[in-house]
Amino acid sequence: MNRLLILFVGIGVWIFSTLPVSADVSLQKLIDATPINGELKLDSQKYEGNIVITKPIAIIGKKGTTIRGDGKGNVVLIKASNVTLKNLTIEHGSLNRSSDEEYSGIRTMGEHNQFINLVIHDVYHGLYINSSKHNHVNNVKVTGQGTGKLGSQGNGIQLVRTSHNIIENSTIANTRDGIYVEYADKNEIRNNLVSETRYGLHYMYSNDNTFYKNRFNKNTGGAAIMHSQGIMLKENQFSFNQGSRSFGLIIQTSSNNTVLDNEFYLNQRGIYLEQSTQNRIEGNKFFHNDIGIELWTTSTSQVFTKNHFKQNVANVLTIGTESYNQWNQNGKGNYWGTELSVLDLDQDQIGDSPVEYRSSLYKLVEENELAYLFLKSPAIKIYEKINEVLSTQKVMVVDEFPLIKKDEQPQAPWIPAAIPAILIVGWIFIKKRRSRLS
Amino acid sequence: MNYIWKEWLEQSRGKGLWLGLAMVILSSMFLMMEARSYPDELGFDAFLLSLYDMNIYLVPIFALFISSFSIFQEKELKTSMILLTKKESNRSLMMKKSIAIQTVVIGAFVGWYFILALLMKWFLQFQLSSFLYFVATVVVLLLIFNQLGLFLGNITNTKMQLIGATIFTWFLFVFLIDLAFIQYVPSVSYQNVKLFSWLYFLDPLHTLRFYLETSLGLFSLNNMSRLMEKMIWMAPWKFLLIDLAFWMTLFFELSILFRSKGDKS
Repeated sequence: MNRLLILFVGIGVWIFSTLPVSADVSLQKLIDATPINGELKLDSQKYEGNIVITKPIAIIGKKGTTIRGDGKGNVVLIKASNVTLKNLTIEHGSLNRSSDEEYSGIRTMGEHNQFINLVIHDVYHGLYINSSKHNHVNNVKVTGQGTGKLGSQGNGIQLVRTSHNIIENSTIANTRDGIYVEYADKNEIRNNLVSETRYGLHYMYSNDNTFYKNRFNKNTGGAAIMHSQGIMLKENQFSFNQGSRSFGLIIQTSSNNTVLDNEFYLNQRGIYLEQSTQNRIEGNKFFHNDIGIELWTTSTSQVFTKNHFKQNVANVLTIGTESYNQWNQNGKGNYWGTELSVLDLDQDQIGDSPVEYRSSLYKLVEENELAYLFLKSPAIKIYEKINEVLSTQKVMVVDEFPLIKKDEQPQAPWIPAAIPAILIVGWIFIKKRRSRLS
Repeated sequence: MNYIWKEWLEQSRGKGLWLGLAMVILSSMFLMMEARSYPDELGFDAFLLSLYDMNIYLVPIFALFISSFSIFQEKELKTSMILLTKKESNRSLMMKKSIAIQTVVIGAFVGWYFILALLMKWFLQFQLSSFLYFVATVVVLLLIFNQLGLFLGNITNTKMQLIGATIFTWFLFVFLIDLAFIQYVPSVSYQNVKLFSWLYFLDPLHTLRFYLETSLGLFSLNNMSRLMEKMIWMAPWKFLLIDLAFWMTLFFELSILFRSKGDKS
């Protein structure tokens, strides 16, 4: 009997010792006890939130350190400057939309704060930088609740009325918008991956920001630049942004932005320009999109130069009445692939005469959005051909200095050659065997 | 089982199936090389979409030819007549022939794609679930067009008729139907979009693409306009099942109804 009792007690002790336990002392008390500019090192365990940080300190966790909110507010609210959060998981914030504010995993209102190696999930907004400057976000992973719950969740990283922040090496997925920027100038956003959101990047009323080497994949819209100017988008990748009226990049009611050396793959529309002026689109690659560039005539005075177009259903569609846009600058036009025949007898890699890109699809797209459903249809080429014969195509682009570039060699040309060789050898082998048997 | 074995022997000794398969294999390899030029994380999905685009052209015409010639041969060689005078009814013969053709052709194509999967694992970032969605589109495409081919083989009297009917049917499905849709698109409004939706999704080529893109998570069904929401009022896989049931039943019954006994001359 006694042995049995000892056994049960032993098992009980073992079970309880393996259960996750909360910290003995509340995290808020630990924070309050940490001196100004001090460092609070947390163990690899779960701590109860919510917490408020009102002085400059560093909170540094280990693998498995989690701050779990009570589901009724911001999990971490920072009202001080020079705060560092590092190696933490933040979870279980309020998802309530009827409250006074939209809550977040982390909401910061201070300056020079740092957010390094964080995982944020089960919250409304992930990281909310509000009315502050010079914050640094590095390697933060925010995961939302999936694209099916867009209305009931917030953004991955939200910047409102802030400036001079750096957001880098972060991953955001399944949130409403990936990075939402409003009234926020002079920020630098680089090397981030945003996928499966509504807009990977949503920009409103924000100027002079830089985007560098970000990837926006499988969103409804890759990046939306609205009511903004002086933005530099360089070497970003916008791909697989497909859906109803989807786009890689939309520039709407914005001017003097530069889109330089970006890649637009497999989007419904690579770039969509509307009510925008004097933007510079240079050196971008538009490959395998339904429409490379869709340009509404409310957009004028854009410069398109040194862009590469390859295997898009329509390279460029200009929709509406005539508008003025420049398709070359300083004697450099764009690369139009094999779709436009360009003569270059003097071999200076610039066409000897201007080329016109014509299409009849503009009318379809203008009349009904369901036309997008047919852009991948094999019939589209016949439709274009019929309109070419009937002379009902319209000139979309006149490029006076089209560029020519020799195609790159495939990476492993031996494989396509090897397969027919194997088939032929196999066939000969079978033939010989049969003839021997007979 | 006998029918399947007989069909396999006939198809494997003939050249049609292998010729068709060889073209699919070659095209697949070239597409794979092209997909490798994409960024790593995009290559696999891009490859599957490219394969589907290729399949739209190749698979229907091969399925139509292989299945229609198979049933036509039964009539030409009078084997169907012998079978029908013994124990088979027209319906049971057609059913067994359909099962045999479907099994052999689907087996051969799917078999190739599983071999291709090994190469995909080698060259691309392979994802099993995406691959299986793709294979499902190939199977459905073959099921519908094989059945359509059996119908054509059944109703035609001469080989010339059969070739003409097969090419016309392929051209109709791949090009003409969409040309007609494109003419009709400007007149679609919120009021009549449901009718348009039914017509659009009854075309298996439309539904299959939609199913594939949504299953791969490439086409988002969120944030759609009111028009698009009314257009896509049912899950793509449901449209696909309706298509499958509708076209297979239709062509099977029509085959029995309009059966021709072969060249009257």
